[in-house]
Amino acid sequence: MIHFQILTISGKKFDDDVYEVVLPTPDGQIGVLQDHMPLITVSTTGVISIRHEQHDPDNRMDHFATYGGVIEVSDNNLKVLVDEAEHSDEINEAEAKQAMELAQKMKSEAKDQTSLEHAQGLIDRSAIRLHVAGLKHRRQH
Amino acid sequence: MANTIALKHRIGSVKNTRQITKAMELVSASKMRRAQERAKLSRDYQVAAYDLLARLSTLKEVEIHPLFAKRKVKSRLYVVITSNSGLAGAYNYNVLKALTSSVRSDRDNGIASYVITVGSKGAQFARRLEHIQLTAVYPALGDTPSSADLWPILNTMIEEYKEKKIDQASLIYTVFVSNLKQQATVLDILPAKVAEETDKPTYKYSFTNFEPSVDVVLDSVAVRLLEIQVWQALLESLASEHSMRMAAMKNATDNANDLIDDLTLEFNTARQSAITQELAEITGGAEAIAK
Repeated sequence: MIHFQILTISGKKFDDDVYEVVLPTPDGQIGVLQDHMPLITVSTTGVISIRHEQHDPDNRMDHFATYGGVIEVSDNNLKVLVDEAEHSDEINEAEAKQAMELAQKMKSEAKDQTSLEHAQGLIDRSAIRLHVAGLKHRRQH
Repeated sequence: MANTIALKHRIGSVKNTRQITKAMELVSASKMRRAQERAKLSRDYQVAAYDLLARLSTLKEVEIHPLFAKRKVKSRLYVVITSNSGLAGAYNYNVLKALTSSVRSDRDNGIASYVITVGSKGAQFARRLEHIQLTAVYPALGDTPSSADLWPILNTMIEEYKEKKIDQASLIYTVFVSNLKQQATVLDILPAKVAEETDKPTYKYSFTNFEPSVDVVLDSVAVRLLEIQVWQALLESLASEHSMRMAAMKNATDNANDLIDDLTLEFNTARQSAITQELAEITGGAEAIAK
């Protein structure tokens, strides 16, 4: 087991011993299990997935949408420092869809590079939120 | 009689004012508590970020990293945190006084000053301030700020620092020392500081892997650190603002009470003398008729 914490500036989002955590990094997804080598890396916009027990099927995993931060592994402690982390249950799908449409509209109307990048950032964000919200349906309680 | 009516009106209007100041005092008290609670929630994040930085500080790459490297200061950026509304005692005044004295000492040392304001009170002041360049103006972030509100400020700061338009960045905000004491402070946040010598952990770091590279990790950690510093400053300022407003409104309520007491006494005296005079007139009249 590895101790896993998700820390955000508005509080602790997750704090428990888990079997496996899958994290988004610039080089692709990485899975962290017990006795992982010490590592410090950055996290990108994507999904953090948590497998609580070794034999848990995929539909029992917890998913968080996140938008970049720092990942630190040392001594069977895994810490993720991110701006925000939203659990799949917290995301309102209809609202996320609306945000996506708004972001796409912003992108099509963007006049300069800055607003284009801003809109693209919002689209990436909404895509991840929608994806995580979709994972909710596969979960069984 | 005219005098007593005027006094009655005044007492009435002071009572109305007292009701408002009392309500504002109670609202500020609860808002202050909420701001303090929010500040507590980010505590874990803060500890983890500083911890990470303390460990990274042993790396030699830190000294040459663009966000950590010190250079000769030719221009400085101030991020000034004020409120949108007044009636909070000396809250805005103290912060703006700190800004003025910093700008003055910069000018004496030949350093150019740039200013970003948060809160409309700061913007109003900075527009009139000489020898500065106003980089950006943001409204106060309200009672429930979110991390998304921070990014425009942070991005401007980091971009200008990397482009070497500014050589140093400082926050001017109000530290919440206790419910009774709040202090305007200048905190330097860029270049990012590695932890003090005493904080350095004994932890061996030689075999830790950095992916994709030390530079990218340092970049990200520096940004986290800035984020938490600005966030804490915002929340402490918010708690201070409400605390100072609460104190100011409590004083106002106390003053209103004193004023009501004085006016009531004056009213009673005026009424009594009117009655006495009326009685004297009646007895005087009665005596005249009896004769």
